[in-house]
Amino acid sequence: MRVTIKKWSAVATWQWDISEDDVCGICQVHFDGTCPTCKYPGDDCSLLSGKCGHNFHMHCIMEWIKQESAKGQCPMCRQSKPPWTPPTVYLDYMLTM
Amino acid sequence: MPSDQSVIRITKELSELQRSPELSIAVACRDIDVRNIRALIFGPHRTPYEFGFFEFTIKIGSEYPDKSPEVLCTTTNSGRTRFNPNIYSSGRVCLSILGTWRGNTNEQWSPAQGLESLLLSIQSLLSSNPYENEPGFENCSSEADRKAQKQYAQKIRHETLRVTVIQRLEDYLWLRPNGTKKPAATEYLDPADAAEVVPPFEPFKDLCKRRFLWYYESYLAATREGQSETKDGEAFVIMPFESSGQNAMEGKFNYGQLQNRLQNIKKALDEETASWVDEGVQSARNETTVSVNLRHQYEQVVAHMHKSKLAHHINLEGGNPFVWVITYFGPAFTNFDGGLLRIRLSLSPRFPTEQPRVKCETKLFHHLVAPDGTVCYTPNSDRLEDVRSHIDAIFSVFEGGEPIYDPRKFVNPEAVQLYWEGGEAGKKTYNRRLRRTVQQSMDDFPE
Repeated sequence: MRVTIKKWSAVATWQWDISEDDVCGICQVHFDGTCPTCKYPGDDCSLLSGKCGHNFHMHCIMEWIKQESAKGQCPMCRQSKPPWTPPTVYLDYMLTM
Repeated sequence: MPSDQSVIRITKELSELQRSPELSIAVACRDIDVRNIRALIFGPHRTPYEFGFFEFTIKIGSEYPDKSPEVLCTTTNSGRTRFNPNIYSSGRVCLSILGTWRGNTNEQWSPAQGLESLLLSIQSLLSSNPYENEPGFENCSSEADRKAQKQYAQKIRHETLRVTVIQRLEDYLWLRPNGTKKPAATEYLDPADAAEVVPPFEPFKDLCKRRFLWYYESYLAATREGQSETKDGEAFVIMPFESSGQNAMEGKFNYGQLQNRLQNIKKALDEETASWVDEGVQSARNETTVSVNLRHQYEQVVAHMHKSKLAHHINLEGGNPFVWVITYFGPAFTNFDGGLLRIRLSLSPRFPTEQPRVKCETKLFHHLVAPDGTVCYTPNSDRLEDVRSHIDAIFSVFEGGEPIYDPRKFVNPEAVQLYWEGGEAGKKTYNRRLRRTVQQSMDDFPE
């Protein structure tokens, strides 16, 4: 039997490449969710990681860094200084017909 | 940052703390107002603050958690007593994570800190040698310093008992220092007006009453120890870092009077528990929501016991749903084998706001049973309205196996001393005395 594929679409799920049960140390919301000011996770509400390995919602860490008392340091270990970079993302692909 | 962000986080922290089985701190707020928190810290073991009730107000600003909360101590004897070099009589708390004290960067506030870490930092100020908290006095070990350290601890112990425990409880119970009753404020009012008076927000009232019953013997023991070291009428020594008249701990020792006041409070609390019986009968007659609920819970508990083939009996005394009497059969192969305990649960017409008071009426020598029979048990904090969670927790007191060291549950000083400070011989004596009271329980049990 020959099958001709007439149409297909790809679906993917994604996840931040960080340990699974982590919550943001600032708002204490799970990284799968957004920071308390946003509606949708992803590009709109990205994460940032310090060199020390601590992750935060971008909006949460930006607010902290703005504080004078922060001195640009990581709230968790008070060590890392910028740059802060977004963590990588895991993708799971799926094909549907 | 929008202000609701701080509300979301603090609400989360509050509910986690309230659900945790933490025995040394408690937090509360009015439902509508999570930005104004009250916290209670219990004075830690082996310190002059032991079993004291220290209350704080915590204000959460809209920039929380980027900025630290504002903290004020409210246990200050109306602004007259400085309980610690870092806790002033004005209520100011000097702590590096609050930014009210200098400290290393890693001791300063960051959003990684929170309500719990803050309260634990405050609790750590209540130490065994608070004299050392004062800068410049950290490593003092001269003869004179050691003497002053001891004098400081002695007056703190006295004021912990007098101000944080006795004054608070007398306040709750409308007692004067001489033991007579003050008329409640509402008694001055027309009954119609009195009904409209909004009761004050006293979130720790029931908790402190129950803890008082736990620690009553320890309070008395502390007064006896204090009495052996000081003379009644002797004035407190002012410390070099205290400023007399404004930010100090001043006063006189009077342990004899403290003992009387402790006894009066104990008596008033026992009378209060006893008054729930009649109040309960009345509530049952009026079929109040609480009484109907308790009767329903009783039927369910009895059905559950029957289904799980538990031999213990539970009866309502005189059919009163506010007094549950449990007959507990000691399980085989434990220290309670062959024992028959009669346990009385007194429930308040204001249950579950006011939690049950539980007494083992059978004489029992046990580290979790106070000499007056008060049982020290900790129900699942998620299900305080469920009498069964109380009963389960009470049973686990007697089915726990080897005693677990927890200084916040030291309700029977004699048993604690034998088991944990008496070496192997002490442990043996403890077990022998426990066994003896268990055996006796069978013979003593009322027909």
